[in-house]
Amino acid sequence: MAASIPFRLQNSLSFINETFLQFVNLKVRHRSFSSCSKVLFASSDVKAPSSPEGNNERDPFPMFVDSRVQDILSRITGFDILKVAGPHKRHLEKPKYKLLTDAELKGEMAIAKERLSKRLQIPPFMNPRKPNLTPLAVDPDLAHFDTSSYVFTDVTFGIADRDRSVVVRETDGTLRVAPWDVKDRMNQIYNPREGKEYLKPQMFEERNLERMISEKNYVYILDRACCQFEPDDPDFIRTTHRIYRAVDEAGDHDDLRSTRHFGSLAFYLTWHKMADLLLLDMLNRDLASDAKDLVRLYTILHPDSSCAASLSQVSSDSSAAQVVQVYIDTASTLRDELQLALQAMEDARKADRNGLKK
Amino acid sequence: MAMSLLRALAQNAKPTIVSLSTIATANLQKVSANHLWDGVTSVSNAGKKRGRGRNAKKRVDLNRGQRLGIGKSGLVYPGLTGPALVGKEMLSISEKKEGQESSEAPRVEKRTRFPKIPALQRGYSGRKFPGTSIGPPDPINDYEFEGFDTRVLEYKMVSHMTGNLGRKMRVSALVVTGNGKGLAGFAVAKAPMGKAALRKAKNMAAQRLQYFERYNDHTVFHNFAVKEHKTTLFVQKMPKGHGLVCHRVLKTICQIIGIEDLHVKTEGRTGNIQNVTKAFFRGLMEQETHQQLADRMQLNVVEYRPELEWLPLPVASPSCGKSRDEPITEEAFDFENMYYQDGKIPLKKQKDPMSRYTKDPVQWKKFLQVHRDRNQVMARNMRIIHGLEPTKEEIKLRQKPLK
Repeated sequence: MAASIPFRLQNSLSFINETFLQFVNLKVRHRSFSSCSKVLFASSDVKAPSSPEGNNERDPFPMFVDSRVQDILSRITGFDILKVAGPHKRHLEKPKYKLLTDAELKGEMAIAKERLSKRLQIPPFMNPRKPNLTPLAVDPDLAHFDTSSYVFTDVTFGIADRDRSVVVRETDGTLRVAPWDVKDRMNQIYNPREGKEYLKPQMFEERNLERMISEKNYVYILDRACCQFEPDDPDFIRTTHRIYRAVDEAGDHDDLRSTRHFGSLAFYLTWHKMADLLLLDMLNRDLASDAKDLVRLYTILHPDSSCAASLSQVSSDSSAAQVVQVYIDTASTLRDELQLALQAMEDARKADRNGLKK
Repeated sequence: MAMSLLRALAQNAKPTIVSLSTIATANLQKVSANHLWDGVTSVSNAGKKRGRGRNAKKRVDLNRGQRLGIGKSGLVYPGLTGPALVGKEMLSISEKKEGQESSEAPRVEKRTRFPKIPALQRGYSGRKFPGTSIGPPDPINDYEFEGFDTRVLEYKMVSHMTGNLGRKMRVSALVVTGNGKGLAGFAVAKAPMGKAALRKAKNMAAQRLQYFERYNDHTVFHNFAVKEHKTTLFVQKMPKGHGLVCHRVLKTICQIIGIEDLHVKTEGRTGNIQNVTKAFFRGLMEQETHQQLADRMQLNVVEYRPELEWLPLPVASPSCGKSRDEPITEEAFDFENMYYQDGKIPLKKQKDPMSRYTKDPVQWKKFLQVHRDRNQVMARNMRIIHGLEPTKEEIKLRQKPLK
């Protein structure tokens, strides 16, 4: 079956698929349809915090892939190589030892850094996908041909999961593009991915998620969500946004530094204009350039805001303190705390400089 | 005669039974308890020589725990269990008063010959000494051996012949003492009595302490082989969490020194505990630390740990600050085999993991069954988690034959 073959032709060609899939469908029919309706419902139900500009309508994805934004996000993520490598649970194995010259060691280190930097690819920040309800064809003659729907999947070698065509012939004879959850399951059947499960793991249920949040297993949940869901899956968006809010409220921003999720966290908080606690954390940790980058990110994501307007008058090579000061004056909601933290950071830097001079 | 007796019984059955019981009680009253016990327990002198009566019953004092005049009802008998007169008045039998002692004497705990030792305090085998702990060494002047523990490795009878006494037996004990933080020593001592030998060995070991450097406080620095007479040890460095896989004596020594992860293959005379101990201590002493290696070779010692994504992490660098310029070009160079003498590397036999199934047809059949169902448990668990497993009622319904 090639991708170019029209769907009607596929119907007759993929008989083997049909029988197998019918079996699959029969097996999970009861369950899948209930979960399907749930997911569809959830997509309209994604709770984003109320924002003054109604950001739900704006699409964040074009902004997210902007090279300026990507640069800032990867810069503020940081790269603590020991944390990226992090002790992972795995089978016991003996460590290896080598005797290297300084030059060799440098080379090995560079290779390892390049290898590990790929771990920090930020998952795309997208709006939830919408169900495609328009039927491809309606054939009333085929109505009640069977008691269950038939799913047809394009299994041509080399097609990406997102581009794969999956259609459903329903019992009333309507042919339509498969609902997203059916498509995800078909993809997992024909192109199984390690770490992804056929049915949505129970840990993403509301009650289990809250328990895991209270245990502060942020990185584990986020990693698992990246494995299980597409980035525009409403479940992915609901889960990750819930974690980002929990991290922000608990002030555990540092847990996500040097992981692939810090960029998403910063983008989410800035996009919804609630980055004050993150900025405070940066100032408290003496990360002045990160704080400056965060304010720059704010002006890129909200070009119409008063902060962007007043920052455009400040020269681009001004110090971090000046840039943050503009943000505090125009856009901050935690004015006093931020002002205090900024002052403390400045004082500490001055004291350090004086100490060096002496 | 018998027929006439039966006939008499049939006519008048009573008198015979009564007379039998009277004879039995009369006989019991004539003999003393000692006499009766003699009948059960005594063996003749000739019998004793042949070993009879070894398993005969022992005498039991049936009156033990009883006191005359004191019973369950708690009555006081004047003159027997209480005073007969109060003033000039004679007392009569009365009820027991509050707070009087009970009739039964306190029960004596039965002394067993071999009291039970808790499993963790037992040694390698049975009630023997080897493997058991005998506490820290005795203090020397004011110095107390805090945190030290001593374990017995060998405890045996040794003898020599003297003109006067013939075979003279003594006890020889080999013990190891240490603090679990790298400090340990061992000693052999002999004495006529076991306890004295252990004490002597323990205190001698405390005076022969050596300090062993450990890698990250859990294992050795590198693999090595060491030989003492006909005993050979192949010691392998192991990652954290591996545990001690070695001769039981070496395991005890490692616990005393504070080594947690190690693999040792022992070859040759592994029953010669003294040589095994000597070899292991010598091997540990002759180790080269990573820093010494870096200084000797003028190269960085770099560690790649699997749990850290094989990240190259230098564990030691030359003290002078920079390494030599030319790298190691020898192709066969391997840190694992670096410290074996004369280029002799221990043979690692490859074992077919399937061999235990393929050799035996029964095992092979079992393997096929298990292999077929290998994912079923996990799959069932997943079904239960997602609520897809049928209920018990439905399973029962399905098991019914179709009609």
